[in-house]
Amino acid sequence: MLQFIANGVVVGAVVAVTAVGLTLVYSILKLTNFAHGDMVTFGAYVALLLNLSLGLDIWWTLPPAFLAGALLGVLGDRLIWSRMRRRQAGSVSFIVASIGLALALRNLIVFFFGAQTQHFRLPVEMRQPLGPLPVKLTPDEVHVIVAAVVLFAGVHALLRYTTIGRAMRAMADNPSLSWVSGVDVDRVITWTWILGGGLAAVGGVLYGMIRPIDPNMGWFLLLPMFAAIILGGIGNAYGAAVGGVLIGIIQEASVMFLPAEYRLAVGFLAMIAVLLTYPRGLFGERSLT
Amino acid sequence: MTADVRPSAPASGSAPGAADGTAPAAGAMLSVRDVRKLFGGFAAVDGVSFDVHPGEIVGLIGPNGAGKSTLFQVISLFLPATSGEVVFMGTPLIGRPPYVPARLGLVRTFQITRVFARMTVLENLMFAAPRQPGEHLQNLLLQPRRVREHEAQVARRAEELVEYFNLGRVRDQYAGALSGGQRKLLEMARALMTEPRMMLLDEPMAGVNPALKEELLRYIRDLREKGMTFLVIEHDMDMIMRICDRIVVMANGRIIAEGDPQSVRENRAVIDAYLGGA
Amino acid sequence: MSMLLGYFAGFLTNVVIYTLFVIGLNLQFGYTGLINFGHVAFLAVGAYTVAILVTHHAPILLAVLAGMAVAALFSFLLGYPALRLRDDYLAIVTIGFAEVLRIWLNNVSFTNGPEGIGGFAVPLSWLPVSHDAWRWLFLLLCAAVTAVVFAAVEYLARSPWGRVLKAIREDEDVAVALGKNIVSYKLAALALGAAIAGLAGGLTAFFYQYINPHNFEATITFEAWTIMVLGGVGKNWGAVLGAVIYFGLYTITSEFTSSPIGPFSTDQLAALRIVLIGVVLILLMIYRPQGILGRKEDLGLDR
Ligand SMILES: Nc1ncnc2c1ncn2[C@@H]1O[C@H](COP(=O)(O)OP(=O)(O)OP(=O)(O)O)[C@@H](O)[C@H]1O
Ligand SMILES: [Mg+2]
Repeated sequence: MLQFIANGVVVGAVVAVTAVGLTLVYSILKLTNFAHGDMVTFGAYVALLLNLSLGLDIWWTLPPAFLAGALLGVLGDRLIWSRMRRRQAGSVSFIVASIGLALALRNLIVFFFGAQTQHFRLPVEMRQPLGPLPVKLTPDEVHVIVAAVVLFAGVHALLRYTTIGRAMRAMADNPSLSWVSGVDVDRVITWTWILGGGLAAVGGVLYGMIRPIDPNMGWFLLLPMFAAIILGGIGNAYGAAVGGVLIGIIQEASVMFLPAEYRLAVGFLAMIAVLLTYPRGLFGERSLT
Repeated sequence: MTADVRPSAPASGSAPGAADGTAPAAGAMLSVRDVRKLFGGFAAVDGVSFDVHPGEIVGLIGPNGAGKSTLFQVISLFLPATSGEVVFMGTPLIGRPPYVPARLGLVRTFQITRVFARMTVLENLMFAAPRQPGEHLQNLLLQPRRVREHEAQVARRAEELVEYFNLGRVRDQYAGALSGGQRKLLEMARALMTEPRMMLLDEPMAGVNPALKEELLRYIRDLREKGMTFLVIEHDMDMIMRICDRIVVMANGRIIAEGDPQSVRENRAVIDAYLGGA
Repeated sequence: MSMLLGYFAGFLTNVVIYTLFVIGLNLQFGYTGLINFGHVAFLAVGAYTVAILVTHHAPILLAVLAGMAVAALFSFLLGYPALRLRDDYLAIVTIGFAEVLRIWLNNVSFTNGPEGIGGFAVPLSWLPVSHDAWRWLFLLLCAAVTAVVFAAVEYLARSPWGRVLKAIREDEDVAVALGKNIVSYKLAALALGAAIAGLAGGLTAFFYQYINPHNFEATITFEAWTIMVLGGVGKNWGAVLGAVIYFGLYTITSEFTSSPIGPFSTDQLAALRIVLIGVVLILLMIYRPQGILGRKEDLGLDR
């Protein structure tokens, strides 16, 4: 039991890191981004490339992966989303375009890296369970949790204490108001993608430290991510984090009762249950803080 | 000006005297009883009671944010009431699905005009007709003839209303191509297609030029002559004073005055509310 | 020559079955505005119902009708909770529904799990004709079925019932304010669309003659969306045109991808083809969201 919760927390930490980016993009840009999962995959493969071909230690791939993810996010906005905003496309067009982007990204990864599952090169001792603990956890898993907590502290500080963070919150609360009240909208959008894309990519690397990676990993993470942000109250960054951990625990704990293949289904059913009982999520829809 | 707008009009009586506070009045068409609506902790409507009698035109006024539109949303079941009851022609409404009022003969319009932009004027109207057999799949399969005949009837009624509202020239145009004024008329005509006994109008005169205002005024009066009952939210005091039999004044979610236009105009509390709220 | 002809029959059958599948989606999204991103679920339900029943020697016609009914039933299962949700939630929930269904099909025994089902009887097999001729006859059968459904949907779309769907899509608050019980219309549109997808699923089962959960991945739904937006949302002819163009491109590109080119393997080329689908979707959304047959003033992708 405890073991499943521990596993759940590890998986949940990864889901949480990726889900925060998804919810930021959703609440600030009003975009339900179905390509977010594939941005996660992208980050994992950037790390794989650096890890295998340059022999970079996996922890050192995190900054470049973040940068690459941020770049991808900003580029996507320049090439696709900003054009659609200019043409005043509606929400369904955005959703369909994001699915197009998801297909394109995923298959570009297949094109360059192949469809097979791959592993990061990790020091063996990192995969040995830690000593006298009530549950079996490897150092890597502990590091993943620590990394997630550190990332959160960073996001929190950014949203709370920086000018750009405050502007992002303002825009999430009331986009029309911020257009007139002198918020630098373009800058907010750019930063949203830097954070959203960067966190997605870093989340992908963290995922690769606990599971083998493949081009579909992001797609299969997408449902838990959506479940997490809906659970936590869409648009609520802290809710997304808590929701991510909860979803992780629910999925891993379900293995006690159901075949492991149903993990994804269980997370999804949890999401439906929440939608039906608390349509605004466990912690309510609210601004980013 | 011959369109019979209602199938069975209640005897159109002149307005009886203002109902007192909360006692349910016999013969009221619409009875609002102690309705409250909270948003979080904030009471947008805070214990409102009044009656509207058959054939009356009642104005609902008050400064911005007084809770008028919210009250409309509650009456039309678009928002759940926190507490209280709304009775229309003897039927309690609260807790029922939002399509019910229109079927009972209580139809609303929206504060901002909402037409089906991608449907023609005629389609907009035909859509609103009640009890259409062609709206049910089994009839389309089993009784196509009955569907066709009824559809022809609906088309005739729609044509009548098109004529009544002077929309003949644009009847086959997409509603999205109409001018603002034409949309107002279309929305009113479309509401009439449901064969209502009472209409809830949310700021029908907002953003309307003076000529059209006079026109709308004439329609409302004419419809009333034929027995229609109205509850109208309006900011245009001149219009309100001219058409209403009775006025209910709201501020901060409560009724602060109620009575005929003259007495409301001179009411101290009303003057204060407007000066304070503005 | 005969091989080429057989190949062509296969191409056309794909076009026809997808057209049928997209007509169902169009009824749900194009007419009613329901964002169904799990349409493949209904295709799968139809195909599996048919495959299982026919394997147990049910009459083919009966099995196909049952496939439609079961698909409609599943749509209630999905629609009852989901239709109350906002657009974006509905998109997420429908995708999830289809994924969960696929996982389930892959893990239960009566569907034979990942091995799938094959070897069941197919329609027209009693005719004493060659396999190639059978393919053409089966194509005609599919085309006839699709034509009937096409005509029926057009009839419904022009009826007062169809008018309510359009109104719901444009502004459901107003539809409610005018006394329409929109939930029942949405459920009906969803169920009818699902039944049509179930029918397409039955035909798919006969076409492949062997099905497994892999045939029903989310990509199928996205292909259907691509076809729908390519042709023009809310137009049944758009489904036909979209399917022709889509499979035309698909077939031409698979000519190129059937053998390795230069350093690239066939898998890589197949991936590039899906990249192309993605790029086409994106470009359409940026530059022509109303599709080929759509006009700006008509009901398009967005309200
Ligand atoms: N959905 C909502 N959530 C929270 N508060 C709301 C909501 N709708 C309205 N309010 C608040 O309720 C109060 C009453 O609003 P309402 O729209 O009913 O006023 P009104 O009298 O119609 O004003 P106006 O004349 O400007 O149309 C306002 O303070 C408004 O901010
Ligand atoms: Mg108002």
